[in-house]
Amino acid sequence: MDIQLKKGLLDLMVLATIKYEDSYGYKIIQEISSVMDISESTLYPILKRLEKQKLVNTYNTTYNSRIRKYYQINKQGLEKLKQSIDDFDEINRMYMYIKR
Amino acid sequence: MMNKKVFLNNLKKELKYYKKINSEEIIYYYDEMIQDAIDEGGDENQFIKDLGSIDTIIANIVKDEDFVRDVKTSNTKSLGNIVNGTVRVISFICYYFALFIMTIVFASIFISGLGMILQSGIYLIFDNLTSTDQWVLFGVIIMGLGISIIGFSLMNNIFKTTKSIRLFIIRKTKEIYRKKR
Repeated sequence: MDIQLKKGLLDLMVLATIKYEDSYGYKIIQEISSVMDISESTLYPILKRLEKQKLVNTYNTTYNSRIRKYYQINKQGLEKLKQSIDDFDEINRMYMYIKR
Repeated sequence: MMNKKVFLNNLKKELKYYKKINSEEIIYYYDEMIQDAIDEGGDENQFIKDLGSIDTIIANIVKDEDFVRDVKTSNTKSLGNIVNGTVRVISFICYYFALFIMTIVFASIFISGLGMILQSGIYLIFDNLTSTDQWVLFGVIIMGLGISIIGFSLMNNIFKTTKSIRLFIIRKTKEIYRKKR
């Protein structure tokens, strides 16, 4: 698949994962792996990018007396997700046209 | 077999060559990831094995950092930046050229010291000499020792100053090596 497209899709996958509930690295991978293969080293740059683009907020909590970094989708993140879903609807219509 | 401590240590060592990467953050990320896997009942060694090689991990990060940087630089190209860039590059070249020459000079001081020691040593061992000559040669050896120490410490200083450029060269070679594979 086109690398740029895949990058964008993965960003959206992560955003969708934390849409309803804040999550942390390990759990995000667990959830996405049920749909597609994603490695730890692939996820790191994505999280970093989402953070840089201010689509997610982060906070630390203590778990088992160690620190865990949580990712929380924010307003811009939700906006972006919604925008992308609209885009995909359009792509889908085009796809149906191509495929018929 | 690699446990968490060894893995994180190795990762840290490799990340030292990459100044632009926030290595502390990456160490935290993998530390948390491995610890979560262990707490969920995963096998530590197996999980670390599945993380892939440290080379791949770094390659993934570098690819992305480059990507972010490329996007940024393509937006900020102005005349001022370009002029500044050229001046900076020229002064960098001059600076490192001077350092290069100095390294050569210091290296030759160091080598001449060693040469004095070696030659006097050979004379002392293989030639039949009067005791006066032996003393003179002994003196020459001491002098050679002093000169080589001076040369060596000067060289050492230069090496310390050029640490960043060496890191840069190592990093670039590693990248080329990685691309080849």
